[in-house]
Amino acid sequence: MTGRMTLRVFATALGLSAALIVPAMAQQIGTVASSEPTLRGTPPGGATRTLGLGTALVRDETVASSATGRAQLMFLDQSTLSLAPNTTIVLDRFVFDPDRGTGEIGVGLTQGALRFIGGTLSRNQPATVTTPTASIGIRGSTALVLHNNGRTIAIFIAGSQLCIQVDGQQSCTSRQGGVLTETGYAGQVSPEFLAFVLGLIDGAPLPGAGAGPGTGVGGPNPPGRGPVSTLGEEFDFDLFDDDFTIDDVFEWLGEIFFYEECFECSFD
Amino acid sequence: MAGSTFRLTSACVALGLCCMLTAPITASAQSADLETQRQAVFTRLFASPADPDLMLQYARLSVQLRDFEAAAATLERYVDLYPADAGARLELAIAYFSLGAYEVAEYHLAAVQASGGLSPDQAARVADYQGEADARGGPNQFSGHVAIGRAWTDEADDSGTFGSARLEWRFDMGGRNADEWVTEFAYSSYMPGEFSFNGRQVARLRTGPEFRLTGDAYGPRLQPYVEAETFRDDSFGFGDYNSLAFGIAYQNPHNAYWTSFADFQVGRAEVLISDAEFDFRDASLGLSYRPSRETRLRGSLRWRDEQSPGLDVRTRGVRVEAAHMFDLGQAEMLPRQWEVGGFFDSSRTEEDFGFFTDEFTEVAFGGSLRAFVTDHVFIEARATDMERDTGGFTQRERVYALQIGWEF
Repeated sequence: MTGRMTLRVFATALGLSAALIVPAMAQQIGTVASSEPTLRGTPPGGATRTLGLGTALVRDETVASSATGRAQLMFLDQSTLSLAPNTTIVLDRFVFDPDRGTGEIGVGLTQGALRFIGGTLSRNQPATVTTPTASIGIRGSTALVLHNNGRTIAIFIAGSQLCIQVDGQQSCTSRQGGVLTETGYAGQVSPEFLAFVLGLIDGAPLPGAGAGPGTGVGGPNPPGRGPVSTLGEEFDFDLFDDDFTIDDVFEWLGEIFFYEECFECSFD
Repeated sequence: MAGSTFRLTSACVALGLCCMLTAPITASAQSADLETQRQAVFTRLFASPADPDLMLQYARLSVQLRDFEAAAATLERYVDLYPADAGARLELAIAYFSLGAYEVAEYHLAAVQASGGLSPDQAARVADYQGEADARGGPNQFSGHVAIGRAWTDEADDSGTFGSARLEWRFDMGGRNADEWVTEFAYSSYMPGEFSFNGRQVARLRTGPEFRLTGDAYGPRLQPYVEAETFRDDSFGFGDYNSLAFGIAYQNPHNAYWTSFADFQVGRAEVLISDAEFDFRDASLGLSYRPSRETRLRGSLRWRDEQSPGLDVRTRGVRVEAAHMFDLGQAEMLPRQWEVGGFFDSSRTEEDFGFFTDEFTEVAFGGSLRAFVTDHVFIEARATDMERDTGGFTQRERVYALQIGWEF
């Protein structure tokens, strides 16, 4: 009897140790970049733990925010995920070769809302967010994804393209502010709904002072400047306007010499 | 004297071309160096994700690499950690504005405005970005310029008023890919007075839908269009014509540096003095290179064939041009924003009259300097040197121009 108890205690201790050791041994794919103290993580085969600032995240870990908690997660490929309260995700695919910049990233969204801001992996192939009703592909992009009451909504913020796939049917948008649901493209997001989603993910903006960090982001981007893609691409809107600068006058003058010469010749 | 000036300017153009050819290599090396620095900062940031200094370093390097998405991601975290910093939120709004996410930018700009405590400069910036984001979010977008000035020719020794105007209207056709209907009207005129033959006026209207071929926000765009043009000159009306053309314009930004473009059109023109008609085919093909957001280099090839009874005209040309914008900062007595530009253009034209042919080549090069006295009003000075060689007989002309304009 005592032997059986000892064995049970030993087995329990072994199991507990394994739960604690697994996250440490598993390869780190990301880190908690900011969070409120109620964020919980459950690594595969491990026990649920509190995720604080700087806690390592591993593949297949389930991350859940509380009813009042938010979090930002940062991944090795420089992608970030922001989680709204009451959100549960599974970090179910992450393969990254930093030398080649290749791999894949995929997240399961069971419940709640998130913002995905792409890094290296979603530049050339889509990052995926899988909800119980749809699969969202985010390529070169930033997007907001919500799943609540059995319904999925995805909002394209910036980048190349956002797609939704339901039962093999795919629908995509490249319109910034475009909304996709299980039924396809649903038009442009309203400012009110966008404010609601951003408020959910980031919390309400606080009143504050005007001091700034000075990243220099405004320097190359005065208000009159055209947009640039997440890959740095931009369109050249005056590409075909060369004929209507003063250089055009100069081209005409080439013809003028000929006419003037002939005019003068005719009087010689 | 004229010969030495020509040699000097030719040398300057050659130097400019060398710079154009070496710029991609230099820019690529700088970019690789910045990327290495950023990766090193990211490694440290990954270990200390809430370190504000590392966050700002990472955001700055991302901005230098034209990766505004990474800057936005970092500023999102900064704002989350320091929610009372309205200046940080303003930078976050600008990062989203740069990415064309105007709705998100407006959300953050409104939050900045409501936060209170902004400096007058920050409040002015918020208002500027809000106005622009609001205008770009609508279904109709207008842009263009109006400019007027004076031009002087050296050899022909005349001068006159020069004016140009352009209005572009982009109408959002709706739909998932935000395809647009683009209509452009452009006009330019040179009026040296009644004692000169050099007066010219040209107006063009081009309209057509612009499609995103791959469904990507920044993939290839194709615009089938119809274009009407009218041309008037003072030299006995020989050149006056009206034309109608159909064409396709294409551009594709392959990455942050390279964009390819092409324009093909076929049309018919009616010469007003004789009611004669000629058919024409125009084509141009080119590459644009941006070593930075402030610098643009372009090279293009062009072809034009005109066919009329008794005369076929074939023109082949090449053009390279460069433009660089720079900011003098808060310099006293001087405008802040400047743009310097230059071009080199060479073409060869063959005229086949049936019983004899004529050939001539034209070479032109020039430079310009534009100063923005306000965000929208500019003053520009230009100088161009051109030379035409017709079977050993060479003609030269220099043109100088000074303009004031309004860009919107």
